[in-house]
Amino acid sequence: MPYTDEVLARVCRHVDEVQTALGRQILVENPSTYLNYAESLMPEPAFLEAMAKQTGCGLLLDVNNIYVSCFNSGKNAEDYLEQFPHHYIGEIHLAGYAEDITSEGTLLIDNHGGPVQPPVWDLFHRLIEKTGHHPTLIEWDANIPDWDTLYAEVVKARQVMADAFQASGLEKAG
Amino acid sequence: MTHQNAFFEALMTADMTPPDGLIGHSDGVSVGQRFNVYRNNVFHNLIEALQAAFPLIEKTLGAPGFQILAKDFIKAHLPSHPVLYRNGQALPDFLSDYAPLAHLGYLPDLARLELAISEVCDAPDHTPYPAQNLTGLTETDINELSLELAPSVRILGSPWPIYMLWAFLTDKGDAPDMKPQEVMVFRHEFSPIIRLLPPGGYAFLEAVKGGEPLGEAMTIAEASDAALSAETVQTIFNDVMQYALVKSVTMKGK
Repeated sequence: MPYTDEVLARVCRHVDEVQTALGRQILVENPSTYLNYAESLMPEPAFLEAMAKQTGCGLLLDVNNIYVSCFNSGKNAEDYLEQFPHHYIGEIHLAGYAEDITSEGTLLIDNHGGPVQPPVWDLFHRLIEKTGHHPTLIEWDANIPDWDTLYAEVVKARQVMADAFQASGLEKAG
Repeated sequence: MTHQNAFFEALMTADMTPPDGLIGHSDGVSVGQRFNVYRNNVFHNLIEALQAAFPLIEKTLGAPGFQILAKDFIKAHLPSHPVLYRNGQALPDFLSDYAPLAHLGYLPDLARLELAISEVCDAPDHTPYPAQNLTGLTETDINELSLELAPSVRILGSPWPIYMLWAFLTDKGDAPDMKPQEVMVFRHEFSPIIRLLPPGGYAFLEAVKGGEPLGEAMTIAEASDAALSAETVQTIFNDVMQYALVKSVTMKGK
């Protein structure tokens, strides 16, 4: 989507429609992107913040999507994380990506088909340090591994959270 | 054309240039290649949904052949239902008119059978009618009963050996003899069950499902298939009672 005022108004109408039908708040997730619209007027975090403000929806922050989108568009993932409106976060997702290496260059593909990669763990650490605890989900739904491998990701996520709390001196929130 | 329409049209058309206004990054990966990520993602997911719903069609054609069929089908029948397997509802009719596979005349009915298997898995539960309520009835009483069958019960008739094809492809039987066959498909607990119907069984069950009392259903079935016999009805009845497929019973005029 182009991030413009017109598109924002349309998306807000749709979020309102869903929340009204369900009778409750929903969380909207930041996407993995491979392209952007030249006419976009605001950065994605600002668009999501305006949407959450106008509709009362929450945000689902997918840390892998941040890394994938920023890599693919040549942006800095740490800057994106800084700009993200943290107080709207209701849930965090972590996942693995695949590297699509071609003669033209490399794209990262959000494929949910492997372990969470080191740069994504680093961003997750930074996020928890800044915002405290949120419900966190590991997405691994392609090339599903054995239980021990999957559970090791959960243990690692807990360890990163614990380390981040310690680093921040924050009390466990939520 | 709106952004959405332009994006969608290009997404669904292989080799079409992406719409204007899209940008990548100075790293050299072209807009076209980036756009292909979206295109591949959409087709990959839709093809996977078809594979899950039609494993025997895939087994018959082989994976590469199924990919070609699936892409042609998806382009002709864009997804219209939020339940993914239902987007394959038009596949049997599509196969009937699909020239590259016209030599495999049984494919449409095999696809109908696979669709029925998906449908019965998705059918609502029912509280079975207590069988003991039917004991002690006279033959006249029984002939006047109308049965409402479980919501999962499907019947399928084919000029092809549809049951033997299914059994062969699921490693439960030998290569089929070329003869017409009829089947009943239903769900028992969490598993789909496929039963070969005896001659006349389809016409009988069709009448029962249409609300005809059992006596009338037999008369109708006898008229349409001379092979129907008391044993046919007994065989079907045994299945119906064994799997508790009766939901409710009404007696004529009551």
